[in-house]
Amino acid sequence: MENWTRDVEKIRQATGLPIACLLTDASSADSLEREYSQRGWELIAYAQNHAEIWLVFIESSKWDGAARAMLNLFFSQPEQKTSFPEQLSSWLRGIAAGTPGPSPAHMEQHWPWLGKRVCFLLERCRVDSTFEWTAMQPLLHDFFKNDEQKSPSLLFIPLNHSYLFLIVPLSMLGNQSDKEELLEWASGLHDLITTEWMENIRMLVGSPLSSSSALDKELARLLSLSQAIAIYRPKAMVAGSWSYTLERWAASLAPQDAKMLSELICSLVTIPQLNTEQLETLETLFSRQLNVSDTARQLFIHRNTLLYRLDKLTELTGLDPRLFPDAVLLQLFLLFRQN
Amino acid sequence: MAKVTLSHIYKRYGNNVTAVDDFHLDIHDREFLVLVGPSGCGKSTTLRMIAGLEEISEGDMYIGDRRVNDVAPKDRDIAMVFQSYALYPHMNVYENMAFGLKLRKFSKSEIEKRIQEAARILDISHLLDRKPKALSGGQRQRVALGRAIVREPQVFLMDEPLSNLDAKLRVQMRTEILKLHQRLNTTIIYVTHDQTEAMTMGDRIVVMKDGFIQQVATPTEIYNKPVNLFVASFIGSPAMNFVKGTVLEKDGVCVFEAPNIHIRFPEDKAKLVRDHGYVNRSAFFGIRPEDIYSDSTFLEANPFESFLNAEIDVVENMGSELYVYFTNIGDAQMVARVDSREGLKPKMTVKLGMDLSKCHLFDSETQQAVF
Repeated sequence: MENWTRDVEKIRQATGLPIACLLTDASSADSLEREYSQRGWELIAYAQNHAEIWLVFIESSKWDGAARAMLNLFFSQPEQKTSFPEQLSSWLRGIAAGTPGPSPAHMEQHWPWLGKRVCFLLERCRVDSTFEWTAMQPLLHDFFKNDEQKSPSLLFIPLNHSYLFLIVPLSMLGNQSDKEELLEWASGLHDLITTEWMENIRMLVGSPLSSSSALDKELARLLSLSQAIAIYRPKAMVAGSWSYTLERWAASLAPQDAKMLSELICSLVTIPQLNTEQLETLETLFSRQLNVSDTARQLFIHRNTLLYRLDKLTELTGLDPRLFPDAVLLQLFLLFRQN
Repeated sequence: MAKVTLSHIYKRYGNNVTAVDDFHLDIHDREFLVLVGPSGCGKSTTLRMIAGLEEISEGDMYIGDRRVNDVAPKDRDIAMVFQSYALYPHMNVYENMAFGLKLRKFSKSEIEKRIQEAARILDISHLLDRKPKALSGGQRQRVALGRAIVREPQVFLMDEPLSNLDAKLRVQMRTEILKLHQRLNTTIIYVTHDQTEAMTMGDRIVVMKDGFIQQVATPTEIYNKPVNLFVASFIGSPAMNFVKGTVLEKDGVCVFEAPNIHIRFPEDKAKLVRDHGYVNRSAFFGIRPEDIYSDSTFLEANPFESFLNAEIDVVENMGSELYVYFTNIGDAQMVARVDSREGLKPKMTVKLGMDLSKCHLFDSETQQAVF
């Protein structure tokens, strides 16, 4: 690209026609292009090398077909300028592929956020399913009542065969930002896809973000949650990025460490095979922060029935799930045994 | 409306796990078929294969006359109602029900007609303007059903749709779904682990265990003629009583013997025992709790029936009836379901009579029913 300046000068001297080569940076490239365009010039070549950008312009009206053909000899394969959405998608795909690159230059200037946004990660649960994520785009736009003409604000980014990333303005979610409400949206979306599209999708939702600079961390958090759920909670189809911390921790362990820990816990406690009702009781108690009344309500049983079940579990396991230290041990035992 | 045919269907995960093993069944047009069984028996996997949410490892699936193995799930013309249903939070009830129809480009008048009809059937006409947040659990479940109904699919698939409701609402919705089936007159395939739901709702019941079909029959037949020990124990509450013992022939009389029990089979049952070669073999004797009597009227009217003297361990008062548990019969605890007016109490020793025309016998090794 360094040669472009010299070549452009030679062409200008040889033809006498208006042509210019400009060196700029990413933040000024767009405004420069607009400025030249308004003056009747057009961009014929574009190249980027790190932060430096070369732009070659000609004055459109002065260059006829033959002269333009000659330009192709010098700039026969001009590098295509990638649009900001493409740069953003490429960046996020890199994160999903485990090869994160630098974020798009001046992301916050290119893509100013007027309000908070919420990320959804959709995971395909059937590896053999062949539908394309893009085929789902109209359904999601209809669901969010997203009008591209009025407000092109719902971002739909297929990351790979397994994952689709959605960035949705909080205003589209009725500015509902508490965890329960966000989970309701995720459940609604999950239901939409399973009932209308009949596809088996896991739906993960993040907390509202204030700036695009936090997108990489949010995507990484949702991806790690997805991996943890696939190992430890394969039946969970809807989850928030704030949940399943224990499962995420377990999934982050090196396999030999997880095995060692699992063996250690199994040597500490001896628990016989628990039936479905007992497992459901424990899971609900843990998810309700050991609150007995709340757990009974959730299970649609009388509080005394729950107390009876918990007494039986204590008798069976030697651990009282109502007590925090015992509950931790039980939870770890169940977590590693399920894996 | 359509029949559904599952022809030798298998579902395998990897090389070792077979979740559904040779499921072969014709589900009739307009039938209400219930798949029932304990957790992990393969009932939900079967339903999900019909829906297309799970791939079929082997076998052929037909909806009507169309083979659907390779038909995309959304093109199978089915509607599914799940255990955990979620409504679209930003849409009111009307919009929730209309959304799928709008996607399918139905006219406004057709959408209006279908929603009003579904709302009338489900008794939610007065809720059409409400957002999901303003609905109770039962109302939400009705809307989820309504979303499926308005599509007028060939087949409804329901995967434990009442599990997230409390006991009272579950009973109420059970009736509602039955009424719905009568009004819509369409094929419904319904999965549950609750044998009461299966018995009360199904035209036919498929009992499954470990991926295999155990029995397919009407509720009455499943209850009265279970084909094996598993079906006999799974269907019925309290469960059927079983006693392990030996079948003997003494002085031309066919009897079943176990510690503290001596049962003389009536002649029709004795013939079956002999015909099947069960004399001098061990077996399980089975009798349902309601076929054990303690009232003097029965005992006097049936002088040739078998009697037991048993001590009452526990009495559960259900209001209209008592569940009476006995412990000193063979190795097993037995339960009888008797009239609450009999006034039985723990520690009492009572004389029990069994209606042996309704007893069962199972092979102790294969666990298959002899009768």
